[in-house]
Amino acid sequence: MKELLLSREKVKRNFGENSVLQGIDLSIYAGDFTVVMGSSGSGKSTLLYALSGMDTVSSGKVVYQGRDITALSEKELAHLRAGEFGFVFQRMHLVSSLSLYENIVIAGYISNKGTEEEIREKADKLVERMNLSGAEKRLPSEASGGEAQRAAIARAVISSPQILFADEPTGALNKANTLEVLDLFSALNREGQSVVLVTHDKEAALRGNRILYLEDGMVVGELELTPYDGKDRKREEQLNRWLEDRGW
Amino acid sequence: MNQYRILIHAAVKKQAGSIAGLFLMVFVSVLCIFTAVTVYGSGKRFVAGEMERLGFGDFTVWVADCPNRIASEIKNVRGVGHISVQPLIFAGYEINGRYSDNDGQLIVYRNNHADDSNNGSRIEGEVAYRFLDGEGNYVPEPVIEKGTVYISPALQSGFDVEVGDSIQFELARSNGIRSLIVAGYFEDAFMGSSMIDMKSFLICEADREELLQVAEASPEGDAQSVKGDTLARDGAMFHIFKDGASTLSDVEFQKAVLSDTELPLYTEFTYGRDSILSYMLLLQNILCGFLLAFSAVLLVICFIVAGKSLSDVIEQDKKDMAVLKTMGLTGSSIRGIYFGIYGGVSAAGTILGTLLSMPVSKALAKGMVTSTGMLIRIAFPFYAALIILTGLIVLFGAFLVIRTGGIIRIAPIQAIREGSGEKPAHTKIGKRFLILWIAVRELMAHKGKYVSVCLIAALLVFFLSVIGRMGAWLGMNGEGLMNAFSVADHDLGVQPFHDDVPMEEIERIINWYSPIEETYELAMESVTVNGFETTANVLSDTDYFHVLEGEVCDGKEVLITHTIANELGLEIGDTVGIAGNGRVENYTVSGIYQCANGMGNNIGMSMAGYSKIGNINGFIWCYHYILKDGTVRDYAMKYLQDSYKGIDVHTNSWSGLDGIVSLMHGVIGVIYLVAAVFIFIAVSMSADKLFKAETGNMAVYKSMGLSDKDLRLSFSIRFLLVVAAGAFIGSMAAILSADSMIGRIFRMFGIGQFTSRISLTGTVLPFAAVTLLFFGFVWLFSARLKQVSIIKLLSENDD
Repeated sequence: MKELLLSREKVKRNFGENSVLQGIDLSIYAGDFTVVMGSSGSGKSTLLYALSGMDTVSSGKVVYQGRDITALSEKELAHLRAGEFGFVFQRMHLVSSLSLYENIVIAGYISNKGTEEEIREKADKLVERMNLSGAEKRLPSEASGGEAQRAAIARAVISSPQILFADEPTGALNKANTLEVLDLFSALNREGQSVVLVTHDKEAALRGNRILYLEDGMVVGELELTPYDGKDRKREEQLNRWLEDRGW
Repeated sequence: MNQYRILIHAAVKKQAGSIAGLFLMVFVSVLCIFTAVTVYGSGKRFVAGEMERLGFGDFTVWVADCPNRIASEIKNVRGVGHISVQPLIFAGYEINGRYSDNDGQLIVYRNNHADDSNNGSRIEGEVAYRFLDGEGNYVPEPVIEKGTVYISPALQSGFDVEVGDSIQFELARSNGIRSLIVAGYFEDAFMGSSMIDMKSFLICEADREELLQVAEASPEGDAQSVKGDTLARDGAMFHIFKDGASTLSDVEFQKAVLSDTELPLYTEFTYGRDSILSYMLLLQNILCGFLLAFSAVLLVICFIVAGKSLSDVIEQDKKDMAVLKTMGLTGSSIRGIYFGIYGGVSAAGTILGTLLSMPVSKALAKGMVTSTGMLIRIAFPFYAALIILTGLIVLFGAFLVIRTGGIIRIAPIQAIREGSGEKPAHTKIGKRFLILWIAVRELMAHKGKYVSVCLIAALLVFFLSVIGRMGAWLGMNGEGLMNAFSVADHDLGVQPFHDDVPMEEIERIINWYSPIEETYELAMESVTVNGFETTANVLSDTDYFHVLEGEVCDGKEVLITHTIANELGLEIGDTVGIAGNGRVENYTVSGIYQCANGMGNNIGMSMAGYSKIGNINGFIWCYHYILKDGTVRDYAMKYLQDSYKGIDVHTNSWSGLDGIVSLMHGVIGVIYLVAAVFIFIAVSMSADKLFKAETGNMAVYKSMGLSDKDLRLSFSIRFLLVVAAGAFIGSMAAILSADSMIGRIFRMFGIGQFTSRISLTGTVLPFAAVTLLFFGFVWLFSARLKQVSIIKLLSENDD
């Protein structure tokens, strides 16, 4: 039995008169690599922002470990983002005035998990693991896209979050960097990190063990796959067929 | 042209905040400039015109008990065109329990339109005053009823007097007090200002005759009392005019009249037209000077903020401009759009400020009536306005040409591709005080954008420090002015006018209020220095003089003020001939001392020195007391005034001082208020741009778990640090230069030296007020962070 981490009940998100999410119900389980797919405008990024407390919902509940996060105060939400959730954006969104290393370490400071020394040690290890050694003192504007995104992943996981959210994390990367970043996500998931990733890239989707398909603000399909363990033609075909059925 | 309409509309919509801020700043600056210039110019013209209309001479001499032949003697002096004699009665007075230090001057006034006996024309010496009601509005010329008196509105601030109150005039020592009821106010162009302690009172002919009868009927015959007696004396103002063909300077003319006649024997005091005009205009000139200096500071701030704002707008719109260029628009035409918008806004602010300066000046003039004593007739300063407007057009034009120059140089593709942002200096990022470290890093990353805030803070703190120092010097009760205008420090002064005054008993009473710590004697006597009429301040102990340069004087020496030194071209070590009571003696100038009385027209002498030319045995001495507890001086004065007749008791103050102090404190308050408004506008404009520049980073911090409060605090701390640095610079500049700057200005008013020390209002308050106002406004402004979601902030940054 999987542990329920996050659930959404009849969540709606309207922008003016446009309804982007139309009463979605779904659950996120611990240890899963959940991938949200859908065509442009289907509401997948909006869903991710609403799940992670980055954005508000128009109605419904988002329940995290028994607590409705839509009812939390701004301070409680900030606490949640600092310690419980990690987020990787498509466009990295690193703090432009901080070096890559500082971008990582400051997230640890904000989460307040451990002493300054411990956080620095953890940041050093992440720098090494993300293959950023030698580039860690660069400003985001001086780093390559891959370096910046790897730093963004390190920033997202330094606080050991319960859930790692990622919104099209490879959308702005070339092929080599994409592979590197996806491998990092897979490795993190193998170590037990729950991941929720939004993508319209099949390669990225293949990394997940649970695929959700969104259409016009509604979850219209769900596919369970075996956990990713390198290139597996069977999993790939299964995903392709499922996507074809949805007109992909 | 449609494309321009669309672009202008879009730019105005996008930059509405900056445009509104610029409009407000230009409006307030221009309003202050024009109000200062209008009140200054109108006041000078009006008071000078009124002095002319009312017949003030090239110089006027106040005389007491003066024989009629003296006027004839004066007429015969070479260079004298004519002389006009305005009769009056000198008499001490009390209003609402407060005694005046100086005698009042009771002048007869007749309403010639209501009096057919003179065919509507005025007799020799009569002048046509203007009358005011209690609200400072002109009223028709009244007929002065018996038992009533018209007074200067300036007495309102000094004595808290209003229509219906009674004024007790002391005519004779025994049974010689007569009360007159205040019926209204009149403009006195010769001594109406609260800066002048002499005050005139308009009475009717019947009262004048009765008052003189009371004085003459007193047992001792007080109408012919000794000089210096506070009881009633028959007197006059001699308005002496130069012959049109005379080539004599004012000083030479005055010397000629005083040396060729016996006038000095009967002279109470003498003032030239320029001196009286300076006194009359002193308060409004101080006010206008403050306002003008403040306007200049505001204008500089306006240019700093507008310049920064325009640069930021151009920087932010660079890509849009580049796109427009790719579509075929030239740099000049895009520049024209910005020039038009910002030029138009500046012009609108200038026009509105100029137009509104008239009603504001009128309101100010009306509000100053109780200080200036006159309702200044406000007239638009056409020529000055032309010069100022031309200057402003040139300034704004040059400013816009320089600031929009960058638009021409934008290369389309380069601008579309290039990123923005400065490379931050490496500063610490630590877990403890994380918000502070983030603030410092963001500050260093955008330091160029904060320079204008720093400059504004420095300018405001400098100016407020200067004003604050003057306020601190002035003191809560005007102690600064008291000390500057008095010959020597004292808490209480008692001058007996006859032998029966029990001075020992009086001193016992003073001691009962507070132990007397020190005592000395002062006499103020009319003398001439190298033929120039002035007042000799004679002290029994010359150590009490405020000596600025050189040494105190002994029996062979005198001290002079900076004013006398400049007027007569004297230096320390020079020899001067001093005449008094028909005797002349040479003295050496031993030093320069401080006493702004008579606009600095006075000298200091020792008792031994004065004894060579004057009689030191009369009732000329005023006993000055320095008390252990000076706060009791007003109570002691009141008791002595109520209990003893034949003495003059005064403190180191004068009746109009309260009004001056109130006015100055009011001005300081208004300046702080305008500064707060400017800080608010500056924050709105600067913070808006900085907020936009830092939105992305703030959104990222927020996504990492910093709360709105943390981010607001961090944003506000950046301003706090920058403003504190600017405020420090401003404070240091004030510490280094304010005293000499104020000192130079004060010398123009006869105050030879200005020194301040670190004070709450001069140092701490400007620093704290400006810093906290900036911090507070930024904190309020940054509340918008709460209203925007992270995603919205991030998407704004992506734009």
